[in-house]
Amino acid sequence: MTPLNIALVGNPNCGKTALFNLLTGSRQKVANYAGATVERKEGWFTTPAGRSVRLLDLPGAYSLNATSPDEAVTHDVCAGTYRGEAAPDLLVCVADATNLRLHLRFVLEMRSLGRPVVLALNMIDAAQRNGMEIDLPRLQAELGMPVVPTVGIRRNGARDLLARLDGVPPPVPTPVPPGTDLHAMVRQILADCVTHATPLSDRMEERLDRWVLHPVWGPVILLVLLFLMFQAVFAWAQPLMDGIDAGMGLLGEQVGRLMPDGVLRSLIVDGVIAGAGSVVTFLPQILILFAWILALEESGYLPRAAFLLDRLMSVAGLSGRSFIPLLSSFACAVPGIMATRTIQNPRDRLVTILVAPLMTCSARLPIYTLLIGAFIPHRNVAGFMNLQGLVLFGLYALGIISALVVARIMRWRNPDRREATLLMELPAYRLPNPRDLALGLWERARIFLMRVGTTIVSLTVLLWGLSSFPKPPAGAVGPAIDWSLAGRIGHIMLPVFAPLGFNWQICVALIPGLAAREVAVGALATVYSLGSGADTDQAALQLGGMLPTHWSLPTALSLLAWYVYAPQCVATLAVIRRETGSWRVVALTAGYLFGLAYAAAFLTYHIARML
Amino acid sequence: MHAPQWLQALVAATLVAACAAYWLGRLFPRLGQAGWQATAGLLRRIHAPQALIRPAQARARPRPKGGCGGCSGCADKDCGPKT
Repeated sequence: MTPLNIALVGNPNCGKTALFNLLTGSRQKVANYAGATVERKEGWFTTPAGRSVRLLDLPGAYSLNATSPDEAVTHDVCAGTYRGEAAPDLLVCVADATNLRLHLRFVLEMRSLGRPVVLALNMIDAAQRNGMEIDLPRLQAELGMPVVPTVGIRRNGARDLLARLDGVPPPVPTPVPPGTDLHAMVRQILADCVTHATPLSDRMEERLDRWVLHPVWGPVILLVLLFLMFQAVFAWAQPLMDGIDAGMGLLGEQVGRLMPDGVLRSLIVDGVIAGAGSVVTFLPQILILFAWILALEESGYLPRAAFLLDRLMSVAGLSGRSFIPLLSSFACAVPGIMATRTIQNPRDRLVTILVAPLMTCSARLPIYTLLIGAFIPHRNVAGFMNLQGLVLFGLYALGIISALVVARIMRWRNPDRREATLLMELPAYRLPNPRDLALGLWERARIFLMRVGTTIVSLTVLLWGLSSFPKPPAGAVGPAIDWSLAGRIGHIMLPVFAPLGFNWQICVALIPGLAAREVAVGALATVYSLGSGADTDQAALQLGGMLPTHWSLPTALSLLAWYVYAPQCVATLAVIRRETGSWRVVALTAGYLFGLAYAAAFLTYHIARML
Repeated sequence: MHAPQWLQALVAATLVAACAAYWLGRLFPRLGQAGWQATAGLLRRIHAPQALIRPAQARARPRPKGGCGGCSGCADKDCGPKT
């Protein structure tokens, strides 16, 4: 039997991807559609009756009347007109059962494609919890297509869908007559098929939104939440960080004691343990930051934050649609830049891509917290505000403000009279599910540790090699590292960076930092460990304690300013190239960011010296 | 040089070379694929177990330019805008 070719389609936020992952598991392939930067996700699975199915997860679309590249791809693939793509045998349209008023309109549009359609009513469990009763047979009759309930996040949540796929193929539904008022039709269907009492949660939601979306109190609440988030990053993480620090110190000591003196011992202790260990120490802070972000996301608050910031962003020449890509950039700029595909206006999209690197990504956090912990006193301001948390908040705010200013300048230079109205769906409030939060944090921890184990360890091993050889000639004075290749490179770079207050060790650390920001911490640990001599295994892991004896406060502040602006890792520049198709944009991004970083670090250093 | 020191140097050099090869493969994917092809060929010639040959062959195949194209900082599965 030939494999069944199914396309999964629906509005954004309908749980389509969760259903796709549930059906296909790890049997997926990710690529791009030919001639577009739109992501193509394809997977395979077998139905209970043994039928092979090829499943295509199409980009979310609010309508088949495409207004963005994503929606255009969805329309063309569904219609069977996308070059190089086989027409689907069956369309599985996924709709959020808790929000049929929005999603059913798209389902009605699907009827005009002339292909068999099955409606998967997703999140049916949430709809039932909200007191909704959906008459499935009646809905099926009124829509003219089979309707199956699904729960994309539950193990057997696609059982009914799989059974339907093994059944008689559905007929092609009759198209909706042209000119029909789809909204009126949706209202009629809902009146006939759905009954629910206004749940208590709806009334509470309205009350909450009166405050959360208030033009004055809304931004205040947002600021308070962000402020608390950054305070928590310092206040809650310290005991865990101390524990990891002590563990790494113990590991370094034991390995140093067990291994005979020699290059391998130096590689393991000064390279791997000192380098990678100094980065792992920051895992608790990263997890605390992500716990907050995940909780805000799960609670349904983040789209409301986008709505609140729409006006502010429009002053800067951006639309509220830029908020989600920019927010994603706080985790990593790569998915943030890819998320700009949902921005319809090409100018807005380009500006968002150009300023996304200014959002402080999670990889900068180890550097910030290292320098803040080492140079900013641990004390309270005004009796309750942790000064270190305040400085961290200030660094994030500086990145955001700079992004808005840069976007404003770009708008002034290249005005676009077209206005993109922000139209978005506000999801229902819900209490973050502890299990989902735990899974999300586990995933972040896994990603971080994988990155340490691959990218960071490999770079610190390379840096150890460059920092250990060649050995100093006989009779040489000074630390051996000064004679190494890394030392020489650092000294060659010094004239460029000395005006910023950087020493050669910082110059050396900047290079591997281009591959992964947080490697700069490991690189500093390795370089200082090797430079300090063989008896400082423990000192190598207490970089924070060592730095104040080697650097001045202006140098530390200058390095912080550098990292606020300096271009992020090479992967960010690579994805900019991929998304824009232009080396010119990459050069512009790297150029303006390096320029800003140099200027900011220079000013910070010299002003701090004068104070 | 004492034997243990010589061994240490060899192991350390191998580790550094492996890390250098890893980064060359990431920065220059075609070079990396050629390297893995050569490795897979060598493993076949010496009749190495399939468990070693298969991963080398898989890495020798060009990867589709999907997702972020190289950043290991995200889970790759969920990289990109949520649909």
